[in-house]
Amino acid sequence: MKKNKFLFLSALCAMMAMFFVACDNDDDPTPDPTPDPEKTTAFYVLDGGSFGNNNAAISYVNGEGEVTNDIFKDLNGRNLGDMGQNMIRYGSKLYVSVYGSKTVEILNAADAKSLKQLKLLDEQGNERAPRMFAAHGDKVYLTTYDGYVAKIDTASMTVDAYVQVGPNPDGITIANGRIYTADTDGMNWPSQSTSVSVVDINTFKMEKTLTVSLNPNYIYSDSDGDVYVICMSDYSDDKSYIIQRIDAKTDEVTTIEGVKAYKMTVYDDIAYIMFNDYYAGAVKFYKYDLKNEKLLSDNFITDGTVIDSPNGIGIDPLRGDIYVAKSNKTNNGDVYVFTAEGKLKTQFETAPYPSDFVFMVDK
Amino acid sequence: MGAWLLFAVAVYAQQVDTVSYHQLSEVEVVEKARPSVTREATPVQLIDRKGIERLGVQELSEAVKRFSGVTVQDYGGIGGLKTVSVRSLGAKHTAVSYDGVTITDAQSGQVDISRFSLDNVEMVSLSIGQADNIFQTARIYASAGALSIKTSKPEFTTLPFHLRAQVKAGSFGLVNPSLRYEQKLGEKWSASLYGDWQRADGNYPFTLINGKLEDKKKRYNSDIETWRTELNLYGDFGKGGRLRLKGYYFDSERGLPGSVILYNDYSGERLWDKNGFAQAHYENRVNELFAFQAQLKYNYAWMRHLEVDNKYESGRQDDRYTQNEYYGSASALYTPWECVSFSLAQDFYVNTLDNTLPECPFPTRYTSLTVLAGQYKTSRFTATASLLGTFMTEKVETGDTPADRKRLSPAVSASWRILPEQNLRIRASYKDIFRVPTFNDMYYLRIGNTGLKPERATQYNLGLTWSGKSASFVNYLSVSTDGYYNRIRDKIVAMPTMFIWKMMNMGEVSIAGIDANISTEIPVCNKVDVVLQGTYTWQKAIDITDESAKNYRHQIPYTPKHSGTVALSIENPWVNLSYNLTAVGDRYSLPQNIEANLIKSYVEQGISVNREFKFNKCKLRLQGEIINLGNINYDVIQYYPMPGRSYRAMVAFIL
Repeated sequence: MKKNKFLFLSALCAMMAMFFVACDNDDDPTPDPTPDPEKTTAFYVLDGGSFGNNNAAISYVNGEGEVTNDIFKDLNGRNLGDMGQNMIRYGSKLYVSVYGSKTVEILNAADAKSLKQLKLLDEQGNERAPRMFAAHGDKVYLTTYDGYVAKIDTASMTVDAYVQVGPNPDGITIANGRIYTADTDGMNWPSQSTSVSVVDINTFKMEKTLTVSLNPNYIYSDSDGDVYVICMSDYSDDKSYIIQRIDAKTDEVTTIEGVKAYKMTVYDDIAYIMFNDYYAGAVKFYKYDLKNEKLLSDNFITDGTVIDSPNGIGIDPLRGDIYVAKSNKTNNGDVYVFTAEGKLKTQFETAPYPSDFVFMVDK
Repeated sequence: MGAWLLFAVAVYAQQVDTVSYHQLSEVEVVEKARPSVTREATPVQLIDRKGIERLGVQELSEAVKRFSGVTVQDYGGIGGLKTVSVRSLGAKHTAVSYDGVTITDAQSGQVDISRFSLDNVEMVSLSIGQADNIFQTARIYASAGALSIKTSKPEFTTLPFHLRAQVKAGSFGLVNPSLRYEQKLGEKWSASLYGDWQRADGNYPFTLINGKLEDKKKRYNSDIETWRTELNLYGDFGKGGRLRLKGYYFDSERGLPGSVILYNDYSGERLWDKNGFAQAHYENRVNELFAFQAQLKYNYAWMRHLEVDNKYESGRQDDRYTQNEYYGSASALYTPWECVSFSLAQDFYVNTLDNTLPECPFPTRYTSLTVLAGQYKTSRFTATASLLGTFMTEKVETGDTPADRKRLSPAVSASWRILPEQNLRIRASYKDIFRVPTFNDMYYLRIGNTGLKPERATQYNLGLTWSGKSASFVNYLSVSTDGYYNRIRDKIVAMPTMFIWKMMNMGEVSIAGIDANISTEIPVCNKVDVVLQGTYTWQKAIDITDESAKNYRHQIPYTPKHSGTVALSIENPWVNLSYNLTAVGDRYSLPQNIEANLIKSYVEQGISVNREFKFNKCKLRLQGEIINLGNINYDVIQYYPMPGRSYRAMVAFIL
């Protein structure tokens, strides 16, 4: 029983990860205008690892394509922990949430050296389990699985405040001066959530709750302030994996037709969407223009490469290459690099469950 | 007594070619017929009361670890789950029987052997494949390996009652008093009562290696408290047969420390178990031609699992599971000629599950097992064949009803003494068996799959055994070597999708191995004997599911290529001493055989001393052990550290 419970929990937690590119106020130098198209851009990828194995890792691939499979351990002399959940870069730092270990590692982005291992405590002194990040101004916001958003100061690397949102929030995004969280309520079955919490970013107070379709999990936004939420429903019915749009001005919720998603990556207002209908054996890689509300492609991989268990997508801001992370159960993962046209360029092996990419375009 | 005695003598007579009986006195041989490890056509290993006492073994798992070809998956500490996997087939292919009746858990499909006390046990044996005794319940046929636990049966020679009062104490707060009382109730009846209470804090220290960091830590939330009570009633009616009634109750509460998670010492899970059963066994050896036996059992198992964690909105998750089993078995043995016998066994049982999880379908499983077996047995040659027929049907209150399951499972084995004057035997066996999906496999919230097929296991074994007096300076020597090949098909595994896992028939495993056992007794001088036992196992158990997978043909997790044990005992009139060693080679914690998943080999050692004092009719036994003598830091299951050096002492008063 216990083992199965673990499996189930791992199912809910360990495999979830969201790719998130830090907000656009990055202080990166302007990229080299003529990069060598044959090469790849240096990047980090978070390898979530498997439940109970303490094998979360960060792989680093330099501009020459050389892979360092556990750069965190190499640089810091210790393991990242159990179940890497989410990684973003904001400013000069990497923020990594480690769900099982209940730690937030704040790293120097230039070399992956840990600057601080942050623990988040609730009023009773119990540790909060961190989930996903969004950044704005000089703060990084983090959902915690006990039902809160933590506000982390990027300079002092401490938590300024917490605000309570819905139960088990996972996805988080910032738009229209608001923080939106996808409240999964995933630990309280049979209770199920249909709520997105909205927090005013200035007052850091809960503003309202929006009702969306059943079981919201991931949430994103575009430059117009429209918010997109992926709702899982019961993982098998018609409403499972739908994307809903929350209007920036009216908060009106509409369903985007013709597209389903497990997870997506928004870059330059284009959503790169992966959807794996596991039992039908169908994997889709959609490209959707959020601003113009238009499906650009129902398979951005154009050369017939099959990736049956995608786990994350990254867009290289320098070359426009599309990176797809593939998990292989508990075996080592793979990263496939495609050109913007969808042709396979190269691939790398990573530690298990690669998910989130950070590109080091200034390196 | 008559019929039983006759049978026992007959068994003994048939087994005269095994000199391993040397160590038993004549009386014991008559009373305690046991399988001969060298004569059986399939590998059988056993440890009896004398061996248990000689080696100072106090836990069932410690006894089972002495067997070759066995992996005890040990999650560490007294309260840690301990399951037995035979020849890499997985714990769900191992049947565990207690006084002849299989212990089952239809929900998890595996039995935690840490819940049984060794104090009350007369013999533990492990048979791989189909054992030679064809006069068994059908259930015993329905597994790839069978661990059989037999409790002591009272024997009265002088006094009409016996008493054994005992206290064990040890490191990490272990206290374990127990009492066994046996009473003769007239000519035909006798009774025994056993009870014990055990508690331990289990907060043992361990060293956590994290990259370059070495942390001295302690296990927390690993306390345990258990109560065990057992009442047996024995009736012996001569020609009217023999009856045995048993009532058993087990109650425990324990903390579940979970795996060691880096940077996170929080542990908020607790487990409560209540398990009671009543069983009746009747056997009648009517005459030389015909014998029959029947059993009935009712089993109740209740479990509560509590997790306190701030990720739950109410701060906690509290689940309860109740299982019931109703079991009946009847078997008949027909021996038309001295060397030919046939048996027919029919079992029927019903299993139910009820839990507080949402969407519990309240399954009820009806199983019928029928076995027809035949045996030809002379002093030089034994051949056995059996056919097991399984029919299973299931009802659920909600959701999909799985299809009925029907299956025929054959087994054949033969053993031949090659030379008439030498006790050298060759043996060969084949068995095709399966395990049915457990209730968890089929119904567990969202991950369960009612469309699962049984997981099939095929076993082949070829071995040589020899026993005898190799030289004048040894009392006996017994050697066996078996080579085997197993194949698992339709292995039931959890397959991940991005969000939900699903149980699927998706695995195929190829297992080749060699088991070797040696056992000898050497008299050093008057009253000083040395007993030496050794086992060695080589295994290549590889995953052959998917050619394109990165772990294709890699050794499956937690399966060392090499492992072995040594036990050396010196028996003398002063203080008996025994030393034991367990060596386990490199293993991997995950399917891919890469450095990151490597768990290093270890050698664990222990010593035990004991002395018995006799006064008139009573005895006082003192025993002490040092476990993990070298204080090595090791894991059987990764991130479930095992205790370092620890101590245990026992005082027993026997009347």
